[in-house]
Amino acid sequence: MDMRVFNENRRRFPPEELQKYAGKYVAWSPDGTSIIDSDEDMTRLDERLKAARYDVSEILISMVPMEDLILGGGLVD
Amino acid sequence: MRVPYMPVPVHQPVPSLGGVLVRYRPVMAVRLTASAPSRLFDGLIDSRADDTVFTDSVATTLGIDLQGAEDRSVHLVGRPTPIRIRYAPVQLLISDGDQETFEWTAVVGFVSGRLHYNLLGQAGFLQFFDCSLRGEPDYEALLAPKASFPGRRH
Repeated sequence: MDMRVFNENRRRFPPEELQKYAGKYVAWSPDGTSIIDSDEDMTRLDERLKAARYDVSEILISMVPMEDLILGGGLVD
Repeated sequence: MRVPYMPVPVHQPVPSLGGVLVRYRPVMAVRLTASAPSRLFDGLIDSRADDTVFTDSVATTLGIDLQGAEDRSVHLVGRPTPIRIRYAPVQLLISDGDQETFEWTAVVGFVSGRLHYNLLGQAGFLQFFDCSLRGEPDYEALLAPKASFPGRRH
Protein backbone atom coordinates (compact mmCIF):
# COMPACT_ATOMS: atom_id res chain seq x y z
CA MET A 1 0.00 0.00 0.00
CA ASP A 2 1.40 3.37 -1.05
CA MET A 3 0.35 5.80 1.67
CA ARG A 4 1.19 8.85 -0.41
CA VAL A 5 -1.05 7.71 -3.25
CA PHE A 6 -3.74 6.65 -0.81
CA ASN A 7 -3.79 10.05 0.90
CA GLU A 8 -3.83 11.96 -2.37
CA ASN A 9 -6.69 9.92 -3.78
CA ARG A 10 -8.70 10.01 -0.57
CA ARG A 11 -8.46 13.77 -0.33
CA ARG A 12 -9.86 13.97 -3.87
CA PHE A 13 -12.87 11.80 -3.00
CA PRO A 14 -15.99 13.94 -3.59
CA PRO A 15 -17.20 15.36 -0.25
CA GLU A 16 -20.82 15.11 -1.32
CA GLU A 17 -20.30 11.40 -1.95
CA LEU A 18 -18.63 10.92 1.41
CA GLN A 19 -21.49 12.71 3.13
CA LYS A 20 -23.79 9.82 2.19
CA TYR A 21 -21.93 7.74 4.77
CA ALA A 22 -22.34 10.17 7.68
CA GLY A 23 -22.61 8.32 10.96
CA LYS A 24 -21.01 5.16 9.59
CA TYR A 25 -17.66 3.47 9.54
CA VAL A 26 -16.29 3.18 6.04
CA ALA A 27 -13.65 0.85 4.63
CA TRP A 28 -11.41 2.53 2.05
CA SER A 29 -9.91 0.70 -0.88
CA PRO A 30 -6.10 0.39 -0.62
CA ASP A 31 -5.62 3.07 -3.28
CA GLY A 32 -8.00 5.49 -1.56
CA THR A 33 -10.21 5.95 -4.60
CA SER A 34 -13.34 4.23 -3.34
CA ILE A 35 -15.27 2.97 -0.36
CA ILE A 36 -15.53 -0.80 -0.30
CA ASP A 37 -18.18 -1.15 2.38
CA SER A 38 -19.73 0.67 5.32
CA ASP A 39 -21.63 -0.04 8.50
CA GLU A 40 -22.70 1.68 11.70
CA ASP A 41 -20.98 -1.13 13.60
CA MET A 42 -17.24 -1.44 13.10
CA THR A 43 -16.99 -5.05 14.23
CA ARG A 44 -19.73 -6.06 11.81
CA LEU A 45 -17.98 -4.20 9.00
CA ASP A 46 -14.70 -5.90 9.83
CA GLU A 47 -16.30 -9.34 9.82
CA ARG A 48 -17.83 -8.67 6.39
CA LEU A 49 -14.49 -7.57 4.99
CA LYS A 50 -12.84 -10.73 6.24
CA ALA A 51 -15.65 -12.90 4.91
CA ALA A 52 -15.15 -11.27 1.51
CA ARG A 53 -11.45 -12.23 1.77
CA TYR A 54 -10.09 -8.70 1.60
CA ASP A 55 -6.58 -8.18 2.91
CA VAL A 56 -7.79 -6.17 5.90
CA SER A 57 -4.28 -5.05 6.80
CA GLU A 58 -4.37 -2.86 3.68
CA ILE A 59 -7.81 -1.37 4.29
CA LEU A 60 -8.24 1.78 6.36
CA ILE A 61 -11.36 1.98 8.49
CA SER A 62 -12.61 5.46 9.20
CA MET A 63 -15.63 7.07 10.82
CA VAL A 64 -17.59 9.67 8.87
CA PRO A 65 -18.89 12.05 11.53
CA MET A 66 -22.60 12.82 11.61
CA GLU A 67 -22.28 16.28 13.11
CA ASP A 68 -20.99 19.36 11.35
CA LEU A 69 -19.34 20.82 14.43
CA ILE A 70 -17.16 18.69 16.66
CA LEU A 71 -15.27 20.11 19.58
CA GLY A 72 -12.42 18.10 20.98
CA GLY A 73 -13.39 14.71 19.57
CA GLY A 74 -15.90 13.22 21.95
CA LEU A 75 -18.30 10.34 21.94
CA VAL A 76 -21.12 9.83 19.48
CA ASP A 77 -23.35 8.03 21.98
CA MET B 1 6.34 14.96 8.31
CA ARG B 2 3.71 16.89 6.44
CA VAL B 3 0.15 15.76 7.10
CA PRO B 4 -2.44 17.41 4.83
CA TYR B 5 -5.75 18.07 6.55
CA MET B 6 -8.69 15.93 5.54
CA PRO B 7 -11.63 17.68 3.87
CA VAL B 8 -14.81 16.71 5.71
CA PRO B 9 -18.21 17.45 4.20
CA VAL B 10 -20.78 19.27 6.32
CA HIS B 11 -24.54 19.53 5.94
CA GLN B 12 -24.90 23.28 6.27
CA PRO B 13 -22.73 26.23 5.21
CA VAL B 14 -20.18 27.12 7.87
CA PRO B 15 -20.77 30.75 8.94
CA SER B 16 -17.35 31.04 10.55
CA LEU B 17 -15.64 30.06 7.29
CA GLY B 18 -17.59 32.21 4.86
CA GLY B 19 -20.31 29.69 4.10
CA VAL B 20 -18.22 26.81 2.77
CA LEU B 21 -19.60 23.27 2.85
CA VAL B 22 -16.44 21.57 3.97
CA ARG B 23 -14.27 21.65 7.05
CA TYR B 24 -10.62 20.68 7.14
CA ARG B 25 -9.41 18.58 10.05
CA PRO B 26 -6.00 17.13 11.01
CA VAL B 27 -7.02 13.53 10.46
CA MET B 28 -4.36 11.00 9.55
CA ALA B 29 -3.96 7.28 9.04
CA VAL B 30 -2.27 5.31 11.80
CA ARG B 31 -1.19 1.70 11.50
CA LEU B 32 -1.67 -0.19 14.76
CA THR B 33 -0.20 -3.54 15.68
CA ALA B 34 -0.69 -5.75 18.72
CA SER B 35 -1.06 -9.52 18.78
CA ALA B 36 -3.00 -9.75 15.50
CA PRO B 37 -1.80 -8.50 12.09
CA SER B 38 -1.58 -4.72 11.78
CA ARG B 39 -4.57 -2.59 10.87
CA LEU B 40 -5.13 0.94 9.62
CA PHE B 41 -7.37 3.47 11.31
CA ASP B 42 -7.91 7.19 11.16
CA GLY B 43 -7.10 9.42 14.09
CA LEU B 44 -7.60 13.11 14.81
CA ILE B 45 -4.55 15.02 16.03
CA ASP B 46 -6.12 16.48 19.16
CA SER B 47 -4.08 18.63 21.52
CA ARG B 48 -7.04 18.72 23.90
CA ALA B 49 -7.02 14.97 24.48
CA ASP B 50 -4.79 13.97 27.40
CA ASP B 51 -4.50 10.44 26.09
CA THR B 52 -4.45 8.67 22.74
CA VAL B 53 -7.80 6.93 22.58
CA PHE B 54 -9.45 4.37 20.33
CA THR B 55 -12.73 2.51 20.52
CA ASP B 56 -12.99 -0.96 21.99
CA SER B 57 -13.76 -2.25 18.50
CA VAL B 58 -10.26 -1.30 17.44
CA ALA B 59 -8.85 -3.38 20.28
CA THR B 60 -10.94 -6.32 19.10
CA THR B 61 -9.59 -6.12 15.56
CA LEU B 62 -6.04 -5.94 16.94
CA GLY B 63 -6.54 -9.05 19.04
CA ILE B 64 -6.17 -7.16 22.33
CA ASP B 65 -7.87 -8.71 25.33
CA LEU B 66 -8.93 -5.81 27.55
CA GLN B 67 -10.17 -8.01 30.35
CA GLY B 68 -7.97 -7.30 33.32
CA ALA B 69 -6.46 -4.23 31.66
CA GLU B 70 -5.67 -1.25 33.85
CA ASP B 71 -8.55 1.16 33.73
CA ARG B 72 -9.63 4.63 34.80
CA SER B 73 -12.74 6.77 34.75
CA VAL B 74 -12.44 9.69 32.34
CA HIS B 75 -14.50 12.53 30.90
CA LEU B 76 -14.95 12.81 27.15
CA VAL B 77 -16.45 15.82 25.45
CA GLY B 78 -20.09 15.16 24.57
CA ARG B 79 -20.58 12.60 27.30
CA PRO B 80 -22.46 13.77 30.41
CA THR B 81 -20.99 11.17 32.72
CA PRO B 82 -17.51 9.69 33.09
CA ILE B 83 -16.74 6.55 31.15
CA ARG B 84 -14.30 3.72 31.62
CA ILE B 85 -11.09 3.74 29.66
CA ARG B 86 -8.89 0.66 29.55
CA TYR B 87 -5.22 0.79 28.67
CA ALA B 88 -3.02 -1.51 26.63
CA PRO B 89 0.25 -1.20 24.72
CA VAL B 90 0.19 -1.04 20.94
CA GLN B 91 2.69 -0.34 18.22
CA LEU B 92 1.88 2.77 16.19
CA LEU B 93 3.22 3.61 12.75
CA ILE B 94 2.66 6.77 10.75
CA SER B 95 4.02 7.45 7.29
CA ASP B 96 3.77 10.01 4.53
CA GLY B 97 4.46 7.16 2.12
CA ASP B 98 7.28 9.12 0.67
CA GLN B 99 10.08 10.32 2.91
CA GLU B 100 9.28 9.66 6.54
CA THR B 101 7.95 6.81 8.61
CA PHE B 102 7.84 6.72 12.40
CA GLU B 103 7.15 3.65 14.47
CA TRP B 104 6.88 3.42 18.24
CA THR B 105 5.17 1.60 21.08
CA ALA B 106 2.83 3.38 23.46
CA VAL B 107 0.18 2.63 26.02
CA VAL B 108 -3.13 3.88 24.62
CA GLY B 109 -6.69 3.92 25.89
CA PHE B 110 -9.77 2.13 24.64
CA VAL B 111 -13.36 3.19 25.36
CA SER B 112 -16.69 1.57 24.64
CA GLY B 113 -19.05 3.33 22.28
CA ARG B 114 -18.37 5.11 19.05
CA LEU B 115 -16.03 8.05 18.73
CA HIS B 116 -16.36 10.74 16.09
CA TYR B 117 -12.64 10.22 15.69
CA ASN B 118 -9.98 8.16 17.35
CA LEU B 119 -7.96 10.69 19.31
CA LEU B 120 -4.23 11.16 18.78
CA GLY B 121 -3.69 12.98 22.05
CA GLN B 122 -0.88 14.09 24.31
CA ALA B 123 0.18 10.82 25.90
CA GLY B 124 1.17 8.21 23.37
CA PHE B 125 1.29 10.52 20.37
CA LEU B 126 1.95 14.26 20.73
CA GLN B 127 4.39 13.65 23.57
CA PHE B 128 6.81 12.36 20.95
CA PHE B 129 6.44 15.12 18.33
CA ASP B 130 6.61 18.84 17.90
CA CYS B 131 3.38 19.60 16.12
CA SER B 132 2.42 22.66 14.13
CA LEU B 133 -1.19 22.98 12.99
CA ARG B 134 -1.34 25.25 9.97
CA GLY B 135 -4.71 26.59 8.91
CA GLU B 136 -5.84 28.22 5.70
CA PRO B 137 -4.45 28.22 3.08
CA ASP B 138 -2.03 25.42 3.97
CA TYR B 139 -4.39 23.16 5.90
CA GLU B 140 -1.68 20.82 7.06
CA ALA B 141 -0.03 19.57 10.22
CA LEU B 142 3.72 19.39 10.53
CA LEU B 143 5.08 16.67 12.78
CA ALA B 144 8.74 16.63 13.79
CA PRO B 145 9.99 13.95 16.16
CA LYS B 146 11.46 15.14 19.43
CA ALA B 147 14.99 14.16 20.36
CA SER B 148 13.40 11.87 22.93
CA PHE B 149 11.37 9.99 20.30
CA PRO B 150 11.63 6.41 21.53
CA GLY B 151 10.85 4.52 18.36
CA ARG B 152 12.31 3.87 14.94
CA ARG B 153 12.33 6.17 11.97
CA HIS B 154 12.79 5.00 8.41
